[in-house]
Amino acid sequence: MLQIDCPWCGPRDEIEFRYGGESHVLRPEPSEAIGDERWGDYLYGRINPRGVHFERWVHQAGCRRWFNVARNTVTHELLAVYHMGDAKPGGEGRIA
Amino acid sequence: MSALPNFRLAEGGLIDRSRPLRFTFEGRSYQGFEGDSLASALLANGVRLFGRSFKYHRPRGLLAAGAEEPNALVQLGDGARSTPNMRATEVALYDGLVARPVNCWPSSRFDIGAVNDVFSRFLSAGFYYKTFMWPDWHLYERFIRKAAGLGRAASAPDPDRYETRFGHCDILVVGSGPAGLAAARAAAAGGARVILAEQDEALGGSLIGTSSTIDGLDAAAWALEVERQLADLPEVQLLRRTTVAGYHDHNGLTLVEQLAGEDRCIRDPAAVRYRLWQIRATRVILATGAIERPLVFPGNDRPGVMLAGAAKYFLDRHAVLAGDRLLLFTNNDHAFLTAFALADAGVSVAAVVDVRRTVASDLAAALVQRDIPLFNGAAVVATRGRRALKAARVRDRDGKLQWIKADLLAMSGGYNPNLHLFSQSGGALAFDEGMAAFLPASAAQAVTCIGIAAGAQTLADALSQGYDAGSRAARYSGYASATKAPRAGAERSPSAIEPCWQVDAPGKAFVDFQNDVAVSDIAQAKRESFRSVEHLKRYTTLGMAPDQGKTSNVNALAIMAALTGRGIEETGTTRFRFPYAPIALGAFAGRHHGDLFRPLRRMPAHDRHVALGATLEDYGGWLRPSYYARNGETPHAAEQREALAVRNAAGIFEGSPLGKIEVKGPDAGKFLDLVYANTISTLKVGKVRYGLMLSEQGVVIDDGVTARLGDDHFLVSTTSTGAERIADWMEEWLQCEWQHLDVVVAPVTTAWGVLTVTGPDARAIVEKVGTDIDIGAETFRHMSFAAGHVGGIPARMMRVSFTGEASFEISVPARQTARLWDRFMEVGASYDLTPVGIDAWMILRTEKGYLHIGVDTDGTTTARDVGWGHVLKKGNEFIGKRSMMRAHDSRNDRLEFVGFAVASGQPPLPIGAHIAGTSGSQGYVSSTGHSPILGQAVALGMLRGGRARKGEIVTFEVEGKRRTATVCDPAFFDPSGDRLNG
Amino acid sequence: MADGEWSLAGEGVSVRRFAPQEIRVLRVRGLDATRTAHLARVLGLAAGDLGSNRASGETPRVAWLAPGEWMVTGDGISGEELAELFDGHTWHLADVGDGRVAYAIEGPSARDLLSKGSSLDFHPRSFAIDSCAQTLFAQTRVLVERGAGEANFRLYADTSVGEHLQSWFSDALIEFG
Repeated sequence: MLQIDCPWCGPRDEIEFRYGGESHVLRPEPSEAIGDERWGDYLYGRINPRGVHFERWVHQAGCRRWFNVARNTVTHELLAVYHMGDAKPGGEGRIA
Repeated sequence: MSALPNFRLAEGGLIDRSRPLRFTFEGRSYQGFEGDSLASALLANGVRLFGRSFKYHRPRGLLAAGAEEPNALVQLGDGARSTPNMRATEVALYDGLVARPVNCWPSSRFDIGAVNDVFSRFLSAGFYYKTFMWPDWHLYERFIRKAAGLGRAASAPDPDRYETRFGHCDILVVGSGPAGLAAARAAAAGGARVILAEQDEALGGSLIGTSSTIDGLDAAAWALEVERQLADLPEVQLLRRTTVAGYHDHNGLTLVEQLAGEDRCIRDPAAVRYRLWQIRATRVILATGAIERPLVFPGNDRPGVMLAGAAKYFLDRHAVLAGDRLLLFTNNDHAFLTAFALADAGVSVAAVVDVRRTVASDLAAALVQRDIPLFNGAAVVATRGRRALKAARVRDRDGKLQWIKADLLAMSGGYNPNLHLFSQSGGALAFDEGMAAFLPASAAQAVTCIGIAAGAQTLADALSQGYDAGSRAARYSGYASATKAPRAGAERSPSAIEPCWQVDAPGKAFVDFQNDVAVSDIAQAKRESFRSVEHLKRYTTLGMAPDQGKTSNVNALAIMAALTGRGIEETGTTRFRFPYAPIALGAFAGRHHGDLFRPLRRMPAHDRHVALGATLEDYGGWLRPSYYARNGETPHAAEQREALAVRNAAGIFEGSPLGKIEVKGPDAGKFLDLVYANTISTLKVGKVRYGLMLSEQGVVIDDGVTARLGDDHFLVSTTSTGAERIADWMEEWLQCEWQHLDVVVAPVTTAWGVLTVTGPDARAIVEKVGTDIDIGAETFRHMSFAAGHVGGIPARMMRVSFTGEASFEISVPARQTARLWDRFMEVGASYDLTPVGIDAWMILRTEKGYLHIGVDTDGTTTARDVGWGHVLKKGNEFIGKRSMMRAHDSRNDRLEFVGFAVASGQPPLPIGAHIAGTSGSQGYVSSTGHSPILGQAVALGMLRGGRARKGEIVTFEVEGKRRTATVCDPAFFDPSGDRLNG
Repeated sequence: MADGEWSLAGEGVSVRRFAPQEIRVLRVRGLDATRTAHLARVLGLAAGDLGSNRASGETPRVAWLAPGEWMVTGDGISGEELAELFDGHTWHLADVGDGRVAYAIEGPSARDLLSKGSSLDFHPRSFAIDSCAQTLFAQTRVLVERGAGEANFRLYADTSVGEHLQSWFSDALIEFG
């Protein structure tokens, strides 16, 4: 079980959190201006990297805040925890 | 009492001879002592045959003395407490213990499955995949399943208690041998929180039974001294009889603490059998020792062939001699200690067979002194004896063969550092040619291996590694390390081991005793190109299952390396897996069974429902009344009576689980327009609007009503199952997507209790209970909201309806709910006010054709499918809008929500009944029942292109019979909705 | 409804249900340091008392739940005062007292009892006096706070799971004979 460092509550067991998938996925708006392909990509297009993944978690059993985590999908090492709306730490792909 | 010879010494060992224990193995009665394991007690009684092997049903005895024992698997206890696959070496003896071997029928001495050994060439590696495929595996499966498998699960519920506990520490030390004790003491001295886990009862590990000294003390005395020091430290926790079974991510570990034995559990229902620990440690120190390797030679699985260290262990700990006449077969110095110790205890030692041509002179001299012959450069090439060893055939350095009589063959092929946990943690191993063993190479987590586990060759090395690791770990956590490093007395340095992966001689030589994998199976796997260790493992089952290759892994891959001409390092190991040793399922479950399996929530007026004799069931985690049967009524009769009362008079229903979410802020209306498919922001204060919530895929996820409490203040009422889900959904969008919206979301569901009074008499009853809200038919119309008092209790009232009757949904502070219920029942008596359960509630809404999300809809149902295509005309954005614009979403053959009218006199259609079409299902029934007010069955469901098919007669397939119904509008009763305003 | 007297005791630990006078949850959006300090003053606390994982004061006692979110037990704040204080901010004060049940868990073994139900570290070095945390306990979401004294915990849960928690406690206490 992972131990996740909630930016507000500190380190807690994974069981207190819920996973929200890849982060930094922006919702295209307004609907009328979005083509099928772009919308399909927003709904279903997700990367599945071997290595660093920038993803969302919510501290469900705690403060109920969403935040971002940079996690190595091979080692499960959590490389960074940062707020929603913040840019990816170090820029994309720079955390190895 | 059996008349078997006694192999117990009169003195010595860690047993209590004043406390004899009686026990039964395979129907025979024996005696042992407190401090015995089942294995040592049987050994003391001369028992050598412990069971049959898994595949070939060969007779097997004890190989080892601890968790690595592959053969002596027993079924422990009877009836509900019966536990399969317990290793006899790990079962602490108790009075009245009953055990029998697994894998043999009718007995271990006469076993029918032994015929497998005769036909063993058909049962070689991969036999499952080859032999039983034609014509169909299922023909064979029944027989194979019966023959295979280890032990039997009990069929009655387990009566024992199991506990679980979470733990935290700065430093977890696994193992209490010299390195572990030195590490724990150094780690704890400065006040750090330390947990020391030891799988045995006694601390000390290899210090028990050694003649070494530490800090001037006898080694065992030093261990006791350290134990005393640790026990005095408040932040140290000693866990004895505790196996660390798992090393998971982020330094999370699973430990199993063995507490009360079966005997105590039988006497004391409060006794705890096992406690499962989940521990998070800042740093972990693994002092897990080493597991001795068997030598691989023909006949190495005969009962009486045992690891050298095990023979010494039984002597040191239990004062048991594993045989009368010993032959030692080794490739290293350490095993000589077994010959010396057993000889000194009175065992006749037939010979020592060493594969090395040169044996250290001091060891040779010690043999001469004891009059023990030495065969150097020699090997054991065969054994004989039907159910127990009688003799072993020795090939001397000149190739001459001779049989030597012995009933105990102690073997040692060297030592594998026990790196199961290190490997589980992600650590990499590297092969050390000098030590002929895998050692820890690089760690993936905050973990250090010390002692023999890290390749320490001497006691001095083990102690200094332990001290260093403990001190470093303490400093890492910010604690000082105050103690001095322990010093070992003078010790000899061992001469080199000579790797011996397999003795070259004809005959079946076993590598994995538990899974019955012999050298020939590995050779076959290689011939058939299963050469990678991971393939080898799956194909031959080597190193799988409970054993996890504890004694076999390294031998096997060394043999594969030799067969393929690769190095051992290059061949590599498989990754060891959780758990290190089997864990009782009860330990995982802990107390999570029966009533505590999961939380069931109770409503504020719960006691009132119970008092009325309601049948309570689990609805989305809430215990709610299904119906209130009156004397002898069937559930159906109760449901029909309750539903009819609502139509003819009035019903009262507790709806407290309905979600209540306050949404407040200048952007609240804007936000609700985004999360609801329809527009909420235009709602007037004091009014209520129904809304449909969609996922981004356009799928309906919830419906509910929203009341406007003030200009910037809304109360969203969700479905009962949506209460938490929708509050979370709103937070997710506000926090992740629309952070600029100035809104707070406050879930207040359980602060309020909800009673709904519904039916033609509802208004009169509410008036009679008393309210300061003007509830006149014209002033407080359907879909209105007001705050005030009901029955003198502060209340929020909504005119919304799930029954189609005029309804008053009244929310009061939760603790006042029962009081209000009582007031209504008192006043309502003269109106036939009837408590209504969920069953009748569902009939009422089905008669009205009201959608029930999650019942009538599923994960493919879009807003358009339930008749809400019009929301697309809404100018502003909302969640799910774009998906509704996909071409697929407006196809005319989608499943659409309709009613199914059944001819009167016909029984209700069953839920899930499908309409067969030429290309699969045309639709199905999602809600159904008998309408008491209409006197006929009603049904709702989904039908392809359904809205355009009203009036069509469709045919359902119902258990082989055909039933017809007419497609209709979902509203069967009062389609104009006049009664809502009553 | 979990009301009235309810308590249990075992070796070294007792569990007692108690009814706090009033429980309210305050939510404020976008509160800056100045306003936070002002809020603390109104509540009779120091600014730091409103920080993460802190529970402070007695009447009222204020426990941090999330950024901009506190649970206030006992009297001591009024809606009017807050309206003035938060002028220009979006805020919400919910009276949730009827939706909560509270337990006092005391005694030298209190920590062991809690560790049967929650993975939180309740050691005083990690969870000192006046610490609080929302966490999972016995499969339910709770707020745990530590009062004065080494082994004095309070646990707030949803009232609908009160019966479940009480069954859980009575079974869990068997181990503490």
